[in-house]
Amino acid sequence: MSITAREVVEQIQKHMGSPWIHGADVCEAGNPETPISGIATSFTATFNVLRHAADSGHNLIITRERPFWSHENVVMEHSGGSVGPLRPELSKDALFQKKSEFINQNNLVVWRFQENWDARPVDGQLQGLAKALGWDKYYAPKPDSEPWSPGNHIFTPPPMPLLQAVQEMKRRLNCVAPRVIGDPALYTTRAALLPGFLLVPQLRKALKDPAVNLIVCGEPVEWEAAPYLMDVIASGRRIGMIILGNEVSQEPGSGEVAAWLKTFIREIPVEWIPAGEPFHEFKAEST
Amino acid sequence: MWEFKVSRRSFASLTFTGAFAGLLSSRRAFPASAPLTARQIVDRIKEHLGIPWNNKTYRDIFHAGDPDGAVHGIASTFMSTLDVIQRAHAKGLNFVITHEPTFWSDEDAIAPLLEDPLFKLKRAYIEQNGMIVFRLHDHWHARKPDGIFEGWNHALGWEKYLVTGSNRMWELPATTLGAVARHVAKSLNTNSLRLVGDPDLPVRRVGRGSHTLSGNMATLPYVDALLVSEAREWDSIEYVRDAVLSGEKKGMILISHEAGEEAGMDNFASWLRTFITEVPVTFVPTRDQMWIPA
Repeated sequence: MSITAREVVEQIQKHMGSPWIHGADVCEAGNPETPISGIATSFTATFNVLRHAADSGHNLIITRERPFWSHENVVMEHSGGSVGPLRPELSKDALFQKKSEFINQNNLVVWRFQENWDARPVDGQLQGLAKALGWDKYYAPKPDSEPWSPGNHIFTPPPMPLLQAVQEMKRRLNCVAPRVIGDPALYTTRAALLPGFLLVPQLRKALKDPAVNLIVCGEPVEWEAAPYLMDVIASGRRIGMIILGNEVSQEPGSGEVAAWLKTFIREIPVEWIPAGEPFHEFKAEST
Repeated sequence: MWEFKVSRRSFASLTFTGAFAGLLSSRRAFPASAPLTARQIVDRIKEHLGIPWNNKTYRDIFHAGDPDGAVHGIASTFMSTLDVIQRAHAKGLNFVITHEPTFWSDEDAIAPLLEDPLFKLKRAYIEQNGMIVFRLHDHWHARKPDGIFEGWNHALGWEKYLVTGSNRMWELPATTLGAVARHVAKSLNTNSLRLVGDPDLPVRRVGRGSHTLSGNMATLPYVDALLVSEAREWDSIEYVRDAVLSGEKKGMILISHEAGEEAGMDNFASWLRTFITEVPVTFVPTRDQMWIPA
């Protein structure tokens, strides 16, 4: 008895606990009627994720980001944003064609799962990153809202200087290129975890807690949230920011997606295949 | 920030402004005891740019302070951060000409910020200290040659490698991706460089990338490596990563927005000094505030 990609998604819809939002979460590539022998979850379906999925027979890949990179006609909320290349232009690209061919030849299906995952009462992205950092035991939820609800994101890890905090994160998350704003010697005691893209309104909200002295995020715009934080520092507040990268900060959330899927999908295997950080280690000094 | 093109229509409407600015400048030729105002300096910039001014620009506008206030000194900078404004004030430079936004929004959308404590603090600091802030973005890019690119190219020491007829591509003596990255980090004084691809990748041709996926897709086929100052991780960076994973011999050097454009505002200060002689003009570096731990 086999299950198709569409049927898997119908099962997901049934288990959401709230009405399905018909927006971004669509079949991005492949045929929805394809029989599925296994499921892979990942931040994004890179060529390597696709290869690994094909090799292990996990032919439905559920991702947060889009396999063909462009957000097309969706303008992200940041200022100065523009629409990406649209499908007619994208489909002329040699890399687009190569990736499509690989997906079709290997009978793969890529389905996006972002909007509905984020609409759950529990913030799976926050939970995933906290666990990956080993910070779930340092969680300091607000007493007036549900633990792990979106925006309830304060942690009190052991106090340490900013430099040591980022080195610890590099080790925990196995990443090479987290960027930092702030004094390396700054003592950090109270952190707001904001995985993913960071906009000014979210940052302002996190800064309302006057004791927060560390912001951990995925990707700020360098003319928006990043200089806002620099100005907060120049205004006299002792605070730092660790910019993990979009993939690094969000990938553990895809692990949470896999764990959640396993609670109701039992007929086929479910595996989290991390895309990995896109960057190669770089040393400024030649060795 | 984003690419800028002057439309045919704005070209026509601008010739008039140019003529008007010329009138103003001839008036200034008479000895005047009154000090220069920020608006007069901007008029003089318009007149010297050599391109028509686009009156529809939402970027190249006054951000804060009194445009008709007297100017004692000019600070040219990549971004008018609070730190830059404080340093300019300490040097007695009360007119800050910035390439990037002051209030963290490309469109200078301050309406949602009016009650924000940091916005109030920054604006009060500017006004109480008699500072004036003007943004010069689109027109400094549109000038021929692009004033930001000219400064960047010079800081990299790559003028001699520019491919003839191109302002997007360099042909370097045979090298590697890692070696190019080290040169870039050193010459632009940045500690936040990130690399996509194999550091040992042989490189000859480097392309100046873009903030957008469309721009990077258009250049990548013609080069071994892209040099990009800020691009979004979900599109441009994943695209280049996929190109590498698909077997293409490509790479990407990603630097901060600041590292890619700061030298262009040093270049602006030098250019401004050629026709503003009444007050000091100083380049105040924003400096790359991001660092990657070793």
